[in-house]
Order: sequence, then C-alpha cells, then structure tokens
Amino acid sequence: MSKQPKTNEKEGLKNKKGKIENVSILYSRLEKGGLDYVKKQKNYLTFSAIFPIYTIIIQIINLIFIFQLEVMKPPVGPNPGGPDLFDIISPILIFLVISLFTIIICAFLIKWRCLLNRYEKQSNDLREESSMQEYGDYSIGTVSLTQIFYDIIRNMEKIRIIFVILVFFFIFNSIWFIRFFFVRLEQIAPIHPPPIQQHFTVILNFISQISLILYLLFQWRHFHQWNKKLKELKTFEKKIFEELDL
Amino acid sequence: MSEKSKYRTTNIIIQTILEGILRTERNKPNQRKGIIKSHLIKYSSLKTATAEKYLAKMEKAGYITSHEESWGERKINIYKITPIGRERYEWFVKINMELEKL
Repeated sequence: MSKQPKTNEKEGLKNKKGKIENVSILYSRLEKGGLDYVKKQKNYLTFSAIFPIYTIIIQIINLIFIFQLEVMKPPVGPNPGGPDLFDIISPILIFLVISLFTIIICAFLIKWRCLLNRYEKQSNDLREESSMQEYGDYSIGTVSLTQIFYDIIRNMEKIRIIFVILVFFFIFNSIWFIRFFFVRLEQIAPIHPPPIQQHFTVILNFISQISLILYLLFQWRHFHQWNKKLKELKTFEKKIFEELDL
Repeated sequence: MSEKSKYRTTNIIIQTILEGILRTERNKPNQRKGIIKSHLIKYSSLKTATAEKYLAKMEKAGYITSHEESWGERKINIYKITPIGRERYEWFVKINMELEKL
C-alpha cells in the first residue's frame, strides 16, 4: 500500500521533468524548422531571380541582332524595309519588365538576408545576456520569427500579383518570338544565306521559350502551394480572432 | 480596416507575444519561468495600452497566465505561456512551414 504513492510520485516527477524539457526545447525546435523554411524561401527567390537574368541576356542579344539587321538592310531590293517598330519595341519592353521583376526579387532577397542576419545575431546575443539575468530583457527593434514569417507572406503576396502581370509579358514574348523568327525574319533578313549569328540567336531564343514554359510550371506549382497555405493561415487567423473575442 | 487585415494584425500581435514568452523561456531554461510585462511589451513593439488590452484578452482565452511578484520595493507582473498558447504558436509555425513535419 505504501509503495504505490511513492511510484506515482516518482512518475509524476518524471512527467514534470519531461514537460519542463519540452517547454525549453519547443522554441528551439520551432526556430530551427522556421529558419530552415526561411532559407528554403530564400533559395526559391534566388532561383526566381536567376531565370529572368538569362531572359534579360537573351533580349540584349536580340536587340544587337535587330540592330545588325537594320544596319545590314539593303538600300534597294526585294526586302528594303528592315525591322519595324514592333520588332524593336518588344525586346526593349520585355527587357525592362523582366529587369524590374528581377530587381524587385533581389530587393526582397537583400531585405530578408538582413532581417535573418539580425535575428540570428540577436538570438545569440540574447542567449548570452539572458544567462546572466533572472528575467531576460529585449531591446526595442528585436526581430521576431513571427515578423520574418509575415514578411515572407507579404512579399509572396506581392510577387504573386507581379507574377500574374509577368505571365502576360511572357505570352507577349512568345508571340513576338514566333512572329519575328518565323514570319518577319524571312521578310527582312538579307537574301544571302543567314549568318551563323542568326542561327545562334534563334537557338538561344528557342531554349529561352522552353525554359520559360518550365519556369512558369515551376512558379504555378509554387503559387498553388502558397494559395493553399494562405487559405489555411486565413482560417487560423480568424480562429485566433474569435477565440480572443476581439 | 478590412476583415483580412484586421485578422492579420491581431494574429501578428498574438503570435509575437507568445513567441516572446517562449523565446525567453528557451534562453534561460534553468532559471525562473516567465517574462516581465515591460519586457514583453518591448519585445512586441506595442504601446502599453494596446499591449495591456491584448494581454488581458489572451489571459482570458487561456493562452497565457500572469502573477505578481515582488522586485525589491516594486511589484512586477510575470507572464507565462499555457499549453493552449504553446499549441497555438506551434500551429502557426507549422502553417508557415507549409505543413511540413517539425
């Protein structure tokens, strides 16, 4: 009879100890998972910025090629026209739009990197300081994981809108590619066999179009997951709001 | 304020407060649990009146608990997180991690 309460007491102590350990490791576990996720989002943004850089290079090559066609156009003959305004304006427009998209993504990346570095630095400093204090203090401007998460959400919501606009420009780019290389080039290129540069430009543009489709599929998958997540977050936010009776 | 931004603003504040308590407890695992009210308000970057409104609501909802302690001649309020509060913060992080296993 006397042994039973002692065993229960021992088990109680063991459970209590386990609970305390859980509390102290919970934030570390969540922080590690959260920071891994933030790094994954950073990788996504890096990839999103690399592909448009390739497209920007292609547009520069296209503009050089069009400029050469304009210079090389025969003064008289069956093809005296040279490239028209649509031929020239389209690569410039696509170049500008994609450059802007890349700059925005790079700005987000730099901002995140700064925020993350600040969080990690503050986290280390706080641990050292807290070990000497009874109750840990925080300075104004301490970066929180919640702040980083919501920064990602806000940026992703912006990127999602920009991406929809970008899709229209990518479609415009594809129409330009088909029109220019399969219809216009025959009309404006010099009569003699096309130079190697022309083949090179066509191949690069063709690769760009294929990559574009793959890039769009990748982005579509990414935003599909994001839409699901945002829906879930909205439900969660509503639940918290209701629970707090605000 | 739209419904979406109303829910969002509230959630940012709530999660930051919960995180502030959890982060403090992680930073000093072998010491006394909890965080002083003024430190928590500083961590959340809120005005005192706003913070007090949210802290009272969170206490009522069972996310946090508070008690008074003597600090020399002064009295200080200490806030601690409850299992419900921990669960809500964990849930929030899980959603952000795209429902991956923690």
